[in-house]
Amino acid sequence: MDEPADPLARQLALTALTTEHFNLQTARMGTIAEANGRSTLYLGTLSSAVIAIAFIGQASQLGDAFYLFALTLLPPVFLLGVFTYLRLVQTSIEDMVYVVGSFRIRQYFLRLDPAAAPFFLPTSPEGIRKLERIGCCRRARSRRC
Amino acid sequence: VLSQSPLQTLLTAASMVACINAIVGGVTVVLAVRSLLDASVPVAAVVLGLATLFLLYQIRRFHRATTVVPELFEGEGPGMPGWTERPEKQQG
Repeated sequence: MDEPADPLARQLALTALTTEHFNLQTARMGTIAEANGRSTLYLGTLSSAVIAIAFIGQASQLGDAFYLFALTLLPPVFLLGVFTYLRLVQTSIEDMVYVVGSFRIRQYFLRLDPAAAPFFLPTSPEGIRKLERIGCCRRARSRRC
Repeated sequence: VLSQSPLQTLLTAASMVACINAIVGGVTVVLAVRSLLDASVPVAAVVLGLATLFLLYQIRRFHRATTVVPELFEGEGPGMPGWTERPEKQQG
């Protein structure tokens, strides 16, 4: 990757990258908040529906009213779940893109001054192996061996 | 570093919603079949079928993302920093 030799251009690039890093972090927070919000909304709707169905089942002695009520209520809840699920898959992929983007900027920061490298989280293969050993960033066993 | 373990797909919020939604879908199908046709259907089979469909979709999407994401960044292959490469490969 070419880096600007001019100190001013380098300083400008650094400022832009810092802003970009901040933007990526904000975008990540957005995806996490959206995932939390959507799953909470779905679980709340489902809980309410199940409680309502239980009341109707008890009141109608599991008669026709119960089936009618359940078959009216459960399909929309299922659809809501499908849409929630699809969006959650999307947000987790978005999150993956933002993580990779911010990590690359971090690699640039690390290259600016190698003396500051020990103050960042480890990114070297040895450091990553150590993180794996404590259960962080665990990879597939088959890939490691 | 992003984890690429197969188990990782089960640790997402999407998987949680998929499993619960499979139960909801399974119960809906079974109630519908039972009330309309008066026939019994094993709930567990429908639930497992739906859950498998959800998870297969998720695995397919994640797999495609792991292939495409490095290409989003100009001039970088799968060995880009921060990607799910083995440390040994990054060294070589």
